[in-house]
Amino acid sequence: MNTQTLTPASVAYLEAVRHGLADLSDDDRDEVLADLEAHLADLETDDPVGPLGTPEDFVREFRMSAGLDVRAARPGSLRRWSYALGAGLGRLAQHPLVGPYQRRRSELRVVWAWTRGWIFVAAIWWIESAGAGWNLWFGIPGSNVALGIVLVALATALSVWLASARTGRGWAWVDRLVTVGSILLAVIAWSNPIWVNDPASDDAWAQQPLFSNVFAYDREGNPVDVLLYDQDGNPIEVTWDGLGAPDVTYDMNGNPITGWDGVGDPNVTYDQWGPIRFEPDKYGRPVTNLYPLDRLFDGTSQPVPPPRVAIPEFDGAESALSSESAADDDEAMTPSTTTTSTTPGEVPTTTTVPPTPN
Amino acid sequence: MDTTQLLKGVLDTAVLAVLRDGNTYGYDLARRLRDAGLDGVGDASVYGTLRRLFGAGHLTSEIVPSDEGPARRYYGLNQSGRDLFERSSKTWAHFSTVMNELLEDAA
Repeated sequence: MNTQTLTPASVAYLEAVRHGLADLSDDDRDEVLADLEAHLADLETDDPVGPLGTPEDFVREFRMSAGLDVRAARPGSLRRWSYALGAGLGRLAQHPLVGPYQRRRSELRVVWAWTRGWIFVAAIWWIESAGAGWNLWFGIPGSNVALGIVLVALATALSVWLASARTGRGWAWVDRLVTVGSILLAVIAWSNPIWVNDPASDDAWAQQPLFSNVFAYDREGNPVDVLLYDQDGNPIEVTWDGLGAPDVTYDMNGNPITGWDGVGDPNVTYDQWGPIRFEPDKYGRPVTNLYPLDRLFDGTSQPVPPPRVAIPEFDGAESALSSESAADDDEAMTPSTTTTSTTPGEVPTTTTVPPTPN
Repeated sequence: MDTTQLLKGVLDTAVLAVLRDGNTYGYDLARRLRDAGLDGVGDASVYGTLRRLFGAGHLTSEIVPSDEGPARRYYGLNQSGRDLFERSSKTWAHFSTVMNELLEDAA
């Protein structure tokens, strides 16, 4: 049945009448509905309820005059509600703000078919690159724009062809499958935070470092405390908000959690990685860019030990300092001094070999 | 006087009378009945009547494509329909004569 020329309200009306005639044979029902469809198309109003009455009235009157059982025509409340919803949407489609788009539905379908094809090409690149990023234009690895244009043109042409009436009813399910698939792909891809791969972006995801602490060592491998700043003199921080102030959390009674393990340390707070104890400056303000941060095991007041690392060796002129230092304190060549001090007995598995003096 | 009940009795004859002038489709048939003065005829009643007469074998139907919209089903009288119309019109003529005489006597 070709219902493309009908208004949404008429389509809803037709469906409601179809439900009301559900007990008829398929052939009889289809013939009645075909007559009614032609009738609806001839009506000069967009809302068929005016000239025809409600679908329930129409069905009841039809059945009486046709000699059918009227009682079988009563639709359930769900059907009445579905018709009311359909009729409401139909009236919305006639609204001055919506109507122009409704009347240009065929043109919008072409635009959507084009967009759908583009989404497919871009999504394929997204999958190919394991989510490393969208190429929002032509989605081709290696910035091969010419190939991208060809592929997008082919995909969109195929999409438009699928959406066209020339493909016939047999391809309708493929058309719907492509629509659903492209929407799903777009939702999945765009909801993935990894797609923000532009370091210059102001997006909070892009600015958020993927590490929770910073450990600095001098050339001899001695751990050192450092204050970190960026090129503009702003403190470099790894806390969640990235703005300098430690996150304040609250207990069940709404009081800020300012201590840790009953100690009453006002500089202990939480960020996304867990509890952290900031060292205050002389005025009592927490210094949030002094590294390494004093991170604590969740549930204890013990600090998290530093990781085991291997410090690179230096040679040539610069290594003289290392050699001299190594001669003074061979153990200082490894960063394990802090580790062993916090967790006695633990020996670094990877350490540097003291450089051979030139 | 509520003419709805009257219409139910004569709608078959009215539909047959319009179809006697030539094949037509539901929308046009309903419009012509209203133009003739039968304002109370509902479109659903016309389609129900057409359906019943067609099911009883009194009508022909033919699908005719339309340039302006969906194809229309044209209904027409076959011999059985023409016979039914003759009987119905005679019945109505007799009935109306009797009624007119009764009303004239009452006046």
